[in-house]
Amino acid sequence: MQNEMVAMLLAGGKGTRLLSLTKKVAKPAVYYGGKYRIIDFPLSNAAHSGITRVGVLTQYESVALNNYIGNGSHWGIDGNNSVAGILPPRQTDEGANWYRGTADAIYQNIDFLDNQNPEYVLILSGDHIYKMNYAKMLAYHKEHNADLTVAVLNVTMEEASRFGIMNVNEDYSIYEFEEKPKKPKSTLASMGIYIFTYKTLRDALIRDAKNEESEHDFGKNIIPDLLARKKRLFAYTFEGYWKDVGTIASLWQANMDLLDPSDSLRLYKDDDFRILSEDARDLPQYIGKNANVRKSIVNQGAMVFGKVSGSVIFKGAIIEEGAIVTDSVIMPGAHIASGAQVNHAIVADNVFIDGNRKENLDGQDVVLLSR
Amino acid sequence: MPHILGLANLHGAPHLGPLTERRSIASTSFLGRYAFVDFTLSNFSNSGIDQMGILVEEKLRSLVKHIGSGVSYNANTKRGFCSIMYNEQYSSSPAYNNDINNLIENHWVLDQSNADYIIFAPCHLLYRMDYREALQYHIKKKASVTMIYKKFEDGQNSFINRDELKLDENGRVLNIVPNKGAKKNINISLETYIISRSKLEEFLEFAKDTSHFFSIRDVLSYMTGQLYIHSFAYEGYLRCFSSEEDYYRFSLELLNPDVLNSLFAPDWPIYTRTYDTPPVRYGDDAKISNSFVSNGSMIDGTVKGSIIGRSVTIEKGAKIENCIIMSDAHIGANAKLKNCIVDNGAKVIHCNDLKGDSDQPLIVRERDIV
Repeated sequence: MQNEMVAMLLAGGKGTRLLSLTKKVAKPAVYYGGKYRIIDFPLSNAAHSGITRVGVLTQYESVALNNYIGNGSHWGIDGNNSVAGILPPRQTDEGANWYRGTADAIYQNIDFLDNQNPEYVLILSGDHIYKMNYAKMLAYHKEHNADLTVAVLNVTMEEASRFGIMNVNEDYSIYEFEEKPKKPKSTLASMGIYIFTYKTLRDALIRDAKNEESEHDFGKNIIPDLLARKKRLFAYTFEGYWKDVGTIASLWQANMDLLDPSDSLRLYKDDDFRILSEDARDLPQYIGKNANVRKSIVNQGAMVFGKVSGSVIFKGAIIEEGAIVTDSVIMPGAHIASGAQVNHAIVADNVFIDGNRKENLDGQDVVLLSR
Repeated sequence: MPHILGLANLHGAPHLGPLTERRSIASTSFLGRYAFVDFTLSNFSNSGIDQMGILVEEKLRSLVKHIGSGVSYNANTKRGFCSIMYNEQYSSSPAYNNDINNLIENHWVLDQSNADYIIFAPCHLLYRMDYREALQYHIKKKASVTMIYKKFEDGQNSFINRDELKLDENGRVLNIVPNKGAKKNINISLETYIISRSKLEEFLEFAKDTSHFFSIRDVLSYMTGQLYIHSFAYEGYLRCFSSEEDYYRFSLELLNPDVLNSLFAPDWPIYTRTYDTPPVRYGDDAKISNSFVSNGSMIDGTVKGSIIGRSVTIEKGAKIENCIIMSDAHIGANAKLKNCIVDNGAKVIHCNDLKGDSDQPLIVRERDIV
């Protein structure tokens, strides 16, 4: 396994609908779940799946993300056969290009892949929250002698119109891909997770790069091209929690999902499949004398003196006595002063909420409080 | 800055009753997520010292597990090192098992180091100190050895049997004696010494030629008359952990923010091993106040005035008051615990009422089920 499959993680997206949360960092670096950044999930999955070589493709606001990834040591991807390659767009002999699409990003790093010389390439997205063992998916790919295996999630018929849908035969071989179909024929939604046999991928990328009409996108261009060429494409059904957090509301909801005792993400289960992250140097969290903390998740380094319920509190956050935080996400270093009330909100990192503010008390929609 | 080798000295450390039955105080859990040795090594690291050794007297296993390769403590993982120094040969003969014999046996650490000065520091005395100022003072005074001490006003009740320094008016150390609690005002030794490399080599030779039972402290005590041993006054947080009662008292005392802020400072991080445990999850029925809680824990009971370690489960209906619950412990539904220490991995599931005294905690031992 070690040298068989290289993972390429697409982490260049801005995530415009996350508003000011992605003003200075790319979407994969957005905070989630009290101690994580979203990119911790695919990288931890890769690490626990026995993948030791990962390329991370960055573009939008790449500095913070590149620093965070470092040599991959947060996820243990710094062992003797490990590669944690940070791959922003670069100037080459042929000039300088931004990544023009998901497929183009991989195409521009064919030299990186050639150096690694893998049998298989796993394409991942840096902005999904889920726990998945890719080794099982690779076994499935091999078993079906596939050229491409696409991980799919079985969604409801109503949801299906919002996703890229894989239409499959009885043996789960894919015969058609439809992007956001008005009348879906199937409910198998693509998760944007692909395992390619490298040779097939390499040929397809080179063809695609020469096609001036292509948008250089895996869903829109590469998959239809492979289908047209009668390649072996299979759908691999994933069962479990998976979330693409594209908006403030969905980021909030994904945080709230953690408070459900059923723990469908399995964040508190599977000890040998922990989500790995940056090491924080803070004290254990302190809960004050008159504090009241219920139905919440609180990280190391937070200090709570006020009333917190139904919320997710990050490190370095301070909730003063007399402050009330309900159904909210309080990001690192945010400070809620005495008297303030915050409801149904995401408070961005290092934001100070003064004691006079009553935010979104009767709120139906989630609000983002930022500087 | 001259090159310095920092040695955490575990020889002659006191025991904390059942807590140190299977581990040394150095690797005993403190404040949920730390071990005592973290503070010693972080003092070195934050003082710009990147070369470290740990002089181990006994009970190696738990320390090795905690330290790992030691990279958590080094600013540069290639230039720096953190070597575990253990004297297998003398491990079962207590009289020989001292820091000098350990240094002779593990002389390779000195050989591989380019240090001009060696700083010895213990793990059972907890303090926060930047050694750079003391070293400058040591160099300026042209001392052979500089011993760090703190002026203390409660010598009758604390630091009993720990070393007291008798100083002349210029700060020269005249004598080292155990504190028998006779006087209020004493200069208590931090058991922390700055020694130049050449002087340390002389001490090793001297001990070999004089007595194989000599420790560094014994050599220093023996030589106070002949050598220019100076002293450097430390001011700030200092606690000596010499019993399980001390451990209990000085741990819970950190719930007082004034005490906490005298040990911890924002510019003085304490490095430790990380376990990547998820944040603490509080259930619908959780009631928690005045407590430290470490990551990975799941709390659905009532917790008051306590310290909760990593990955502890406290079930609904359980009541914890003035307790220290260490990592991976499990407190079952409806258990009531007051003034207790529950060691790593222990389970309180059958007994519903455990109560210690406020100055003498009841201890549930490591991995015991009660």
